Amino acid sequence: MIRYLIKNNFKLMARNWVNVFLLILCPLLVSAVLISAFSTLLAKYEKVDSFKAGFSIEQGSKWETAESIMIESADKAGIVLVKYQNADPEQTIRNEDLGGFVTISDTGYRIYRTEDEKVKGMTLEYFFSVFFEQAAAAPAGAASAAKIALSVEHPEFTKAVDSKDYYGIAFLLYFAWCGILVAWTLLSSEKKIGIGKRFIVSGLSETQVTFAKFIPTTLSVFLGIGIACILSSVLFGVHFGNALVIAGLLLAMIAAAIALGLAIHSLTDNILVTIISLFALVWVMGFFGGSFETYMFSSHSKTLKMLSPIYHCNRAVIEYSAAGSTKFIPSALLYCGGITVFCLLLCVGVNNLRRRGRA
Amino acid sequence: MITMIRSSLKLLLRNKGFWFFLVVVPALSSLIFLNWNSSINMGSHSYDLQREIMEQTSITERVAYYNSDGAFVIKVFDAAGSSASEYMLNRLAQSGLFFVARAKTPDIDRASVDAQIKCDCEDDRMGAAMYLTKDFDLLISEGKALDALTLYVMSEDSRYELFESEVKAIVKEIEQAQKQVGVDKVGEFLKKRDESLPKKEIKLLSGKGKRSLNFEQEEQKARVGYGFAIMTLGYVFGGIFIAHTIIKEEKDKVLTRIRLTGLPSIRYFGAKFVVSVLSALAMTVMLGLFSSFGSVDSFGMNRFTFLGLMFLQGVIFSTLSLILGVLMGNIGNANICAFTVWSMSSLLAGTYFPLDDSTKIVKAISSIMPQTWFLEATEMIYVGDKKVYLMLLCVVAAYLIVMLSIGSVGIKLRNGEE
Repeated sequence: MIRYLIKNNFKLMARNWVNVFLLILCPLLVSAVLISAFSTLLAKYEKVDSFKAGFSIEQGSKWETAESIMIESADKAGIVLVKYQNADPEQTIRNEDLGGFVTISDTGYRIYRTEDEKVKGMTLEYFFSVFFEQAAAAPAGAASAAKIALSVEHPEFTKAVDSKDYYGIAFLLYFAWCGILVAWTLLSSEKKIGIGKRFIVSGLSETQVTFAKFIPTTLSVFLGIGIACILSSVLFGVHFGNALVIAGLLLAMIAAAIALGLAIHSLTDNILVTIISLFALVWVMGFFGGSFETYMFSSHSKTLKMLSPIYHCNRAVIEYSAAGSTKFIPSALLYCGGITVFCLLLCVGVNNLRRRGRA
Repeated sequence: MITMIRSSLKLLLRNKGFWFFLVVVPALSSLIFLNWNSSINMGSHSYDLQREIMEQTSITERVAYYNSDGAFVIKVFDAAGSSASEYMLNRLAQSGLFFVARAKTPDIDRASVDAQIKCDCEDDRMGAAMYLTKDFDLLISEGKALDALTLYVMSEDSRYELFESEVKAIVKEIEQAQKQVGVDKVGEFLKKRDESLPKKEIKLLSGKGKRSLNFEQEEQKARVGYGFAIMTLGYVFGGIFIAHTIIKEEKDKVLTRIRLTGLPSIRYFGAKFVVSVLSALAMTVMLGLFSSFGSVDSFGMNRFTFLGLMFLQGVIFSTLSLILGVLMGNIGNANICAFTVWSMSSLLAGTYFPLDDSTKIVKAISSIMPQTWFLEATEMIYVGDKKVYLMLLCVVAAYLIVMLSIGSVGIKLRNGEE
């Protein structure tokens, strides 16, 4: 049987340092950098419980009388207001570690927000906006406003994913699609030494020879990406969903990627051309599938996105991991399964034709 | 030793690859300083101080990009277009907590809004959406707020509660104002009333650990960072070419013959080190020539300071690649190694994009990269910190000591093996 071939090929690839570099180091480094580059864009709002902010009121201002009410209602909103009369707001914020600062005069107020404390600044600004509105407007009565009935819909939305989960996963998948690179030495030396011809003599069928390459390559890529997944969850804190589901999805995807690579290789019979054309193809699929620009944000047409298998895989794995549910698992599996079966058939078919031509 | 330096220099200058890096890399690097589109932006424009309604051209336009820094984005389908609805949206936008993106759609009905919302749920990102009907004013005056507008909860964001209560409060105010002045004039009336409120002013301060660079300086720093990244390539390969000469001399037994003349190996490697410093100097001079076409504004500091920074970096990188090349002992491996050093160090030092928000581990790795310190020095120069020269001296000395000692131990070990 072909068991010894599978074992031998797997050993050959697992020993190769390119494996470690391409499947573990590269995705981790690229995702680490992209995670940080896109962290503000994909940031999620996290409520702060309670924080300290400073204020000062111009002497003789009419707001001096409202000071105690202001402090009291700020306290209810989770803001501890501390008075720093005649202090420099910028210095005070830095020295006293404040979330923000407000200076109030008769004609208006000025809010100092810092880049470090965006949520606190936002909360502080909102509080004062509402406070001054309510103080100036006729007390319409918050109670009667709360009684107003509004029609509120709760559509089923995709939950927000932050950059850590997005790029932490998307780039593992992207590099997995380039996995055929680990079979580089295997395929090139097979050709160089003319092992293919010897297989013909040995009586192995093309199906067996194809599977003897397909199975170990898929397994070694799966092994590498699996390690990268564990590392990224330990190092960066990327969330993965149920390990079994993710492993299943990854395996289906890697199988498709390797089958695609082998099919191109059987067509071109040249490993360099295979790798270049596969990488170009993966790049295009990734471009439309959200590997570089997040799929939520990119403005490519929906049809193009739906055509890209990487789009389905990205959405399936990312949404399942980070948001807990996704509609894309069936379509991703269907796509990957389809590619795997089609490409393997193509591969066997072309190799058979070639063998007959040779024979 | 001087003969050694001279002959090594000759070898280097005869190498076409070296000339390529000597001319092309500085030229590429200075292209950045000549021709730089200032609108290059990672798409993470901050909408921190946006207090106006963001007008959308159509209902299908995405609002996801406004989410930066965790803003609460409200997508509004405005079929009302009345002064009252305008007032409501403005007030939401000005509160500082919400970001209002509005598409004016006078003819839209509930069914098409629902259909669009269904798409947005999957392909867009927002805090909430709101549909204001055509008869918004009239329905509110009749007390039928339930029919006048619809809210859509589009996220798990806790600020939704505030949004809903704010909308309720504004609806109540509109209703009351309508009773006072009539349905038509309510918008102007409320606007006038709000003008008597205290005026709000916002001042955004830069973060604590950061030096406060202004917008222009941030851009200059980004440019200098790209310059560092490209020049590193040249410096790294400069060192590698010298390593090639060592590898070749070892192979052709030239090294043995030189040893027989009684030249100690420290002097041999010393000469090679001097040549690598000279090659870094040559590249820096080339950069100086090419970049003299651009204005000083593009890097925001004295030309010579800038070139000095580059040169020091060049010394570090050409020494590093020289040592790596000698340790590899093989031209092919040395090239791959140099390429890896270049791509990884520039990426991890944050020369392409800032790594301020990254994890501790990435930051720790980043601080091992020499470029990180040079970017730090760039910032210090911008804010006029005098300690920068001492820091640079320490950094360069530290890298050289570490590299030279590891390198000499490595070479000894390798020679011992043979």
